[in-house]
Amino acid sequence: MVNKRMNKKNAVNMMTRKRQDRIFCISALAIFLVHWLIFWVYANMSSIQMAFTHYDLLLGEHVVLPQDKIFDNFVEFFNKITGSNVTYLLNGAYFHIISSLLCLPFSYMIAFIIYKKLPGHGIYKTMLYLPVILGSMVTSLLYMHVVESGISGLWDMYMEDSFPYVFTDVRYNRLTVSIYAIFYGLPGSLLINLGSMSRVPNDLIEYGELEGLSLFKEFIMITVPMVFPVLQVQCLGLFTGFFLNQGPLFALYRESAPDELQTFGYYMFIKVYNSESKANANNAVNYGFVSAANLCIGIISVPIIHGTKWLFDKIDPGAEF
Amino acid sequence: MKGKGLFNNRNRAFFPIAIWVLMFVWCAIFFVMFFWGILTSLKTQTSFWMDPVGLPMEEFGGWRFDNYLLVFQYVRQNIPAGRWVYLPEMLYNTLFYCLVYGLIILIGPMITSYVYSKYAKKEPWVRIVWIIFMINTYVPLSASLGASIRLAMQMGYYDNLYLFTFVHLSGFGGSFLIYYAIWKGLSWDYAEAAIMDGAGPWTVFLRVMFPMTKTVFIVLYVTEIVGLWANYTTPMIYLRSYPTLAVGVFNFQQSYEAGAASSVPVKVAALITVAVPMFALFMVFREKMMGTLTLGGLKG
Repeated sequence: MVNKRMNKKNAVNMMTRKRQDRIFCISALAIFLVHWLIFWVYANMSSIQMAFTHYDLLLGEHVVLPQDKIFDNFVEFFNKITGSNVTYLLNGAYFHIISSLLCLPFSYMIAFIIYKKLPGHGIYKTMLYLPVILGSMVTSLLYMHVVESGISGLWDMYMEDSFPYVFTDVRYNRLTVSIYAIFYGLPGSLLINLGSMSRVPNDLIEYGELEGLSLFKEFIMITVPMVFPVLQVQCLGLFTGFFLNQGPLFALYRESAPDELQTFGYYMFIKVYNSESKANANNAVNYGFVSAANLCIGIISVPIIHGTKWLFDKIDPGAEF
Repeated sequence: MKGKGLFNNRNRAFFPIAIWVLMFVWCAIFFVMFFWGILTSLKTQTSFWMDPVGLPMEEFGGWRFDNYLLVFQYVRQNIPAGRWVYLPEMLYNTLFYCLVYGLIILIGPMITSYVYSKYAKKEPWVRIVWIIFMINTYVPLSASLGASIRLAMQMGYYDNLYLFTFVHLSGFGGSFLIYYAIWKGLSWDYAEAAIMDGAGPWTVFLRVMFPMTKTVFIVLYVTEIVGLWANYTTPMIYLRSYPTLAVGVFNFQQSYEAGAASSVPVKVAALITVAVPMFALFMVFREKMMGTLTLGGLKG
């Protein structure tokens, strides 16, 4: 009898707890689910719908394009991306190659040397993290002042000819911006890289040391395979970055980057930024084109991302720890 | 411990030395850039033009610490209402933007990851959290900037510092995985003990589980603050009447006003002014930030 009562009490308790848990889950998640529905689902649908509209200056609103011109924004996107000798695409690829193919491997090597606690690792770790702390705006503008005023002034003091305008001169601007992009990109995601390396089992490293592995071989044969999943995630956007990469162009040039350096990501940003800053906020004439471009890039990205993933899965050493 | 010295057998090879030298050169350039910036910010324009890399010259005004006061005077932003916003107001906007938005950004992923990690087995529908997170992460679709601005206008949070807060209340942001790893690593036994004592799920979460992650929360909060402090594009587009320090200083760099307002030393002083608070914050939390994120950042 007592046992039965106890069981009944327990069952009631369990029911109450289950109900409490359910109420908790609903109350904890409701606001975030609604937020997602509005700011992801609705925003994306609205963006897709906007891709088929143009801004009617008389009505002051976006109206759906006529049937025969329904894909005009998409046509403009493909014309833009393939026109002018595909400059936008090539520039995007150029800056993306700098950050992904040049800086990424070095950022891993740098993280590895810090992780191996070579002399000065503490100060290197702090210094290399400083660009993140100070932000790209401060770093890029300081770089601009150093080059435009510091180096230029020094040059003018000791050289006979005057220092060229390296940020605008077509002969030097690519090099000047590239140096900054490399400089800013070298530390990479230092903390994430260090975090993933710190998980490599010590036994494995000690085994490698006993086998006489050099640091380079340890890096290539132990560390890289071990952190491969993280590397894979960092590389997934490897090819879609061609479209979206802006490089440091906005920070350095604002809306007047030289034509020969502009990327498509920068071009799209400026289209909207100019609409916002140059006129009243309703002057949204470029939104349709930008939305169409955004949608196209999203669609193009799907096979590219999956292709990249497939490629990385193929070469994944499959190390587990 | 083996392998610590740069010149021991294992490290005496091209690879570690080359990368070590690369790091040294990088740090040296970075240090010189900032040292030059600080030195320049303390000069008069004439002293700067006479010697752009030397110490401030006494005959041309000497050390001008008042350049930093000029920053307060000259860094200003014209807003759509037609008035000027000066540095103190920008500082208020920045603090609100960093402190409140930083908190909001962090709270969402913290709660959703907690619910998913601790309740997914009991309440199967909670798995939707993971599905949404995966969609957000792997579906390469995002609303265009134009559509986002139009949505902001439709919903009334465009150019509204306070309402714009809610846009950041996402439950599936960048720190979702970090927090998920942390919750996974925390034993549920503590919660069970509290439940035995009559605590409800919210009490368990707020008074038992959350306090155990306080350090990580502070570190992530500081990291968010640092990121928001330097962000100038979002406020520039969405909050045109509420310029932050970063926006003000960014726009000030293109100032062509006559006199000191367009001098290189004052412009550089403005950059240093916006950089110093975050540098100080980083130095205070340096050990915690680097240690915690290194250890916790990728688990899970």
